[in-house]
Amino acid sequence: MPKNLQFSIALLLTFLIVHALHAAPLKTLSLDFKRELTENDKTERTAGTLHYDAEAARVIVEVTEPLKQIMIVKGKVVEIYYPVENQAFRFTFEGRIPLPFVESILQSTQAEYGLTTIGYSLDRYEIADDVLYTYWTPPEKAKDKLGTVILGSRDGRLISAEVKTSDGQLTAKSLYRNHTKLGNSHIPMEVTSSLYRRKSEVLEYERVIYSNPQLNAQPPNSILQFEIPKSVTIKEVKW
Amino acid sequence: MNIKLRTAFQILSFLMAALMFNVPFITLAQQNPVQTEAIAAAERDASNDTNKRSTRMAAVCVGGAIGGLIGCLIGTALGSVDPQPTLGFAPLLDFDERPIILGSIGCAVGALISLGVTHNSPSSPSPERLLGKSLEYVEFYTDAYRTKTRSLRTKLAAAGSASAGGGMLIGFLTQVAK
Repeated sequence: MPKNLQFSIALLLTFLIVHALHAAPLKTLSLDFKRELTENDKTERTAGTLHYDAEAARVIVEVTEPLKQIMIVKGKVVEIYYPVENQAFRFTFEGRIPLPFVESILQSTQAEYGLTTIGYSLDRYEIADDVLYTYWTPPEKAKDKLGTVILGSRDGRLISAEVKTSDGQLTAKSLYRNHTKLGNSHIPMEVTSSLYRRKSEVLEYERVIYSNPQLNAQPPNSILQFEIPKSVTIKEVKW
Repeated sequence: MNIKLRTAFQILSFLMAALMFNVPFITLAQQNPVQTEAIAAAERDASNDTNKRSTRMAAVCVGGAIGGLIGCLIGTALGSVDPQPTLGFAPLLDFDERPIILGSIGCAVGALISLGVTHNSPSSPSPERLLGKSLEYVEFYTDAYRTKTRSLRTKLAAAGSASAGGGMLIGFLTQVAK
């Protein structure tokens, strides 16, 4: 076989393998985070690492600042473990709990922010300053409770999302910045979110900066199998 | 000399008594700041989480009122039918009692609707509110949130029941006035 042909085959295979790796579905995702939450003129800072296991639909948040805490969220159960005090809580909710941090990140990578999946429909769109704004209306049966959602995208990446109440008041706004390509998706490394009261008064402001992203790490981080030690007394709380 | 000692003793006694009296108040003033912060946050969050369903709260009260009113009107309407339908109450009840009985049933239905709606309107905090919070904070927050939520739900149910009773009373009075 001519050398050129061998080289071409090797190059093609390499390309295909690399493409296959990039097209690999999300199995695990780890991110370091620093979070600032401002509420009632008071700012709290939290830092740590979050670990997401897509197959188990489970998030483990390892908090390192301001104290040591491990939060495990899966389905309708949230467990909070304090390794220093060796004590834990188990909260059982009535409904499914949105996965902290991860839900927002994953939604930002989905086509149309996952709105079509929950019944939203595209009403109109406009382009301003290279940003495509799409306006989404809620399903008919939920129009009295849900309002319009406005998404802003640039170069195929979600950069803003606004949520309004059924009577047109702005209730929440998120901005997504510093996107990093992970696999087939662009993950925002900075997310700022604001919750509003009536008359656009800011109720809560949150800024999360992510770093050190690890997608489908091999071998998987052992923390993904974390369970609260059996010797720990867990206080059960049912909401 | 004896007078001075007596005076000094009296002053010291007064100071000791004042100190003993004030210690509990000092303790209260220095209440655990973590506890104070957690309870304040929990009560605020519980109120905000419950107030998000203000439309449903209003519906609870209106539903209760309508239930009571309809019950009373039906009772009165049946009372005017000839021959009188017994509804299984005869011969124990006479005509005048049926509007009250049926109005009371309407009131009870309104109260049950209120209780059902409030029971099916669970409120629970987002777990992210507990991120980075100490063990002590989570303890106090959890207890305060549940207490506040229970209190708000009880008030809602009571408001619905009171509205139902008010509706019944209005219906009864309009019939009496005829």
